[in-house]
Amino acid sequence: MTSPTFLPHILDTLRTKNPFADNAAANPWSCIFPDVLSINSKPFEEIARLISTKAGNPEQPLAGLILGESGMGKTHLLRRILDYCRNSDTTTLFVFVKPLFDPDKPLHHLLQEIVLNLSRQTSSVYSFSQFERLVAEIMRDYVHHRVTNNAADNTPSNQRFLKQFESDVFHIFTNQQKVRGNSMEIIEKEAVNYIHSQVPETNKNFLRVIFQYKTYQKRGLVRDWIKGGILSDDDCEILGVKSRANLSEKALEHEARDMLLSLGVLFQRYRLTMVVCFDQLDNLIDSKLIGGFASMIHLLVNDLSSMLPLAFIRADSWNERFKKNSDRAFSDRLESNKIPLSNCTREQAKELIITRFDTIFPEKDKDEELVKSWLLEQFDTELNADLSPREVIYLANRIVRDSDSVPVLFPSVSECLAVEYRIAQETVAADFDSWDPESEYLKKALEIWLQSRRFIRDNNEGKEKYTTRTGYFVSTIKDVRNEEISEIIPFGFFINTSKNWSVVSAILRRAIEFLNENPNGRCVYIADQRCNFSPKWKANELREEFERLGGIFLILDEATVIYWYGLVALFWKIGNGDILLETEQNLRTATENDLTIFLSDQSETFEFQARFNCLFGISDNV
Amino acid sequence: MEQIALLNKILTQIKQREGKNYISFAALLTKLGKTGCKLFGLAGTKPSAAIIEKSLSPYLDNTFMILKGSRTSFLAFKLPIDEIVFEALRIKFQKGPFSPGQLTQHMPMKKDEFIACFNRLLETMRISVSVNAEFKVTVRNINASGSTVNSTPATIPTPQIQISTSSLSPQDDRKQFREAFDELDKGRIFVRICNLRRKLGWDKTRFNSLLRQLRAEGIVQLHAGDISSMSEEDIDQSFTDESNFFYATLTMKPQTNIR
Repeated sequence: MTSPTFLPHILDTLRTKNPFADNAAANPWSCIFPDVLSINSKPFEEIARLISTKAGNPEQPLAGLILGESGMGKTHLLRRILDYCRNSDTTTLFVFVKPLFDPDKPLHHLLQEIVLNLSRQTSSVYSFSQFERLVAEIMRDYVHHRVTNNAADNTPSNQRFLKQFESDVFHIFTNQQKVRGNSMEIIEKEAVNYIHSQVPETNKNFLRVIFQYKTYQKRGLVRDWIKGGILSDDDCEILGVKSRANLSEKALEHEARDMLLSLGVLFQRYRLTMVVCFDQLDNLIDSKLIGGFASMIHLLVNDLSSMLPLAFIRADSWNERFKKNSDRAFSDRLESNKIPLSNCTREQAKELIITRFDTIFPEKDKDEELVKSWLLEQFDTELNADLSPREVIYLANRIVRDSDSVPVLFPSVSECLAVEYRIAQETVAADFDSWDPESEYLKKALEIWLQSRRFIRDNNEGKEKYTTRTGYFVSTIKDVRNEEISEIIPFGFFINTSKNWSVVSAILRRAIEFLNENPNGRCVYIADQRCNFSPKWKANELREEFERLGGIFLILDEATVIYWYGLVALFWKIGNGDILLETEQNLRTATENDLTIFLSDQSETFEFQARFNCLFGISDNV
Repeated sequence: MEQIALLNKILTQIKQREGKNYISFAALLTKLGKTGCKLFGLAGTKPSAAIIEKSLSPYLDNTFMILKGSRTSFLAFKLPIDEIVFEALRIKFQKGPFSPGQLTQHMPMKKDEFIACFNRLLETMRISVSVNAEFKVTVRNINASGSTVNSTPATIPTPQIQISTSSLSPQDDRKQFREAFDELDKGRIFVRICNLRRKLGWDKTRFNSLLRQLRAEGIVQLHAGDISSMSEEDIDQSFTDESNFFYATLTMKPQTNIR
């Protein structure tokens, strides 16, 4: 390719702010570049038709399977669905479900993800969340019932209020001052009883709690409780609910199902449709996880008539893994609406390049237009077939990069992954609220790190199991760095994500028991700082005992949690085939093995010492 | 002896499938299974490396040897150590240039032994490397002609690519291509290139040139696929285009008359 000799300042800007350098969209909530609507327009139309059919006939069991290989624009399509939902007069709600890690808690996971999404802003017009929408719908329902069925309430002013309420569901929030005295409190209280009498399938506690979402100070608690969290006794008292501290794993999963069913019937009553999108499913690597995913789909399709599940999967993974490791009913259900994605045509590819170019040069002066023409001309020469959007961007990146006379130095795998890891951490930090304290994520980060440290988990002992709802006992660990020693060291990691002292006490008691049973063992209590340890708790005595026996008490601050969750986000991205590694000779997707090598290389850096090696207290010398 | 035949069979399979002349003890135990382990007196709980070595030693003969890596021990065909390293480098190089450091922990020897072998191969110019700005080494070339690898004790059949000397016309090729695709498709939409290639059994040039042509005409679209669930052979039988994009699956325009 001939390097252009004209307009060096514009080319410099293009290289510096290269809009083609990043070719994978992180998630639908945070796509930086504008969407090119002509790409995958047909699949989108089919999805929109599915959503519209579901909205018109909620009883119809529907699901969609969107098949496309990595880089074909799945995440951008998700973004388009999100925008479609936001522009649908807020009657279609969008939910994006992160990958499942624990096959024994699929419904708990589904509920968590739904709740997380419901607490986001409904649309670009209203600043209300989807939870508030639900509360407003219930209140409108009740006000309508009172005004139309109770003669005493059928006053001209109440009729006016109802009329306004019926034209704008958020009227009750935007005009709270118009609701006299204690009326709001009475409406809330009676609305709960009314709805429960109308829809007995709803969980009454759920209704009582969801109304409290309106109180800004209680939002976090409401969210934590609805998604199945184990709150402290004080927090339970604030919400007026019983503690879940003594519920078993199974009971919690059953309760999650109840909550989902409550949400489902309420959505159906108010003609709301929820589009539940599953992405990054390539990370479900074993049949148990695929089974967990299948049980979510079964519930959504068979029992939650207002919800439409859409699964975005790499075609090869679907054909080779999911279909082979799942029941026929599940695959048939999803395949009944199979929507394949396509590569870009030449015109779409050019449109994609122009769109990205214009984000850097929005003014479009004469010189910039010249550079754009040059870029398109070069691209046209290189393009000889329909390519995926990611390949188009990669090709454009190569043209921009090679326009410099300085020879290209290809970064090593570790250097590439270091950049990706930083991006993953930034993604987590930017949307930290959606990364609640989650034992599954902490456990996964721990496992990834352990693997890179060349320890292996001694699963054959059959000791890996849950100790409590929120803590994990990660089996024994064999140090395989030296074949001569080959010592098996019992290692216990107890991860707490509960804010309840009795749960924390139970975890610590089990950890102490572990240390007593294994005098040569090592034990770490790990908790996200958001589930901090109160100095008032009775569990303090247990903590002292735990530390006296040599246990390591580790509270991860926000920066460290971002480091850990970032590792999980990076792992997902790799699993999804979203990281391309380029060398002088070829281009390939990053693998888990690359991640392990990268982490091994990083293990002695200051950052890693600070973030992970503290687990062992003494770094490598187990 | 039964034991020697079994070890020979396992190592030969590894050589055929992965090109390696060695197998780790852990993988060997898996391959042996319960019955195989019993033959060597290895039944029961997980044996240590020392016990495995002791159990294997009567059967090593002139065919096998035991090597100690940095993480585990290996059973290997009795070959000069430099040849074992050369073969491992050659196999790795088939996927393009790489840093030798990536191999260190997988080699059937300690790191310093590996480095010594690597340096000997450099000195005898059987491999060549380049060094980047950060002095990181990348293997750039493997001099296959200089290879002095002894033939492995077992006779290893080299997988043969079926050469088709068909005199069929290009139109017939297109028809066959479509028919083979339809047979593999069965609602999958995305068909693996390696499966299509095997089904047609054409030589590489014939298959690749038609694939390129159909792609240029917009009849076929190529996609990355999921290499993590593919064997080495599947990956080899896939397709890399002139821009160095690797493709594992393809889709075809439905009901397109590609004649």
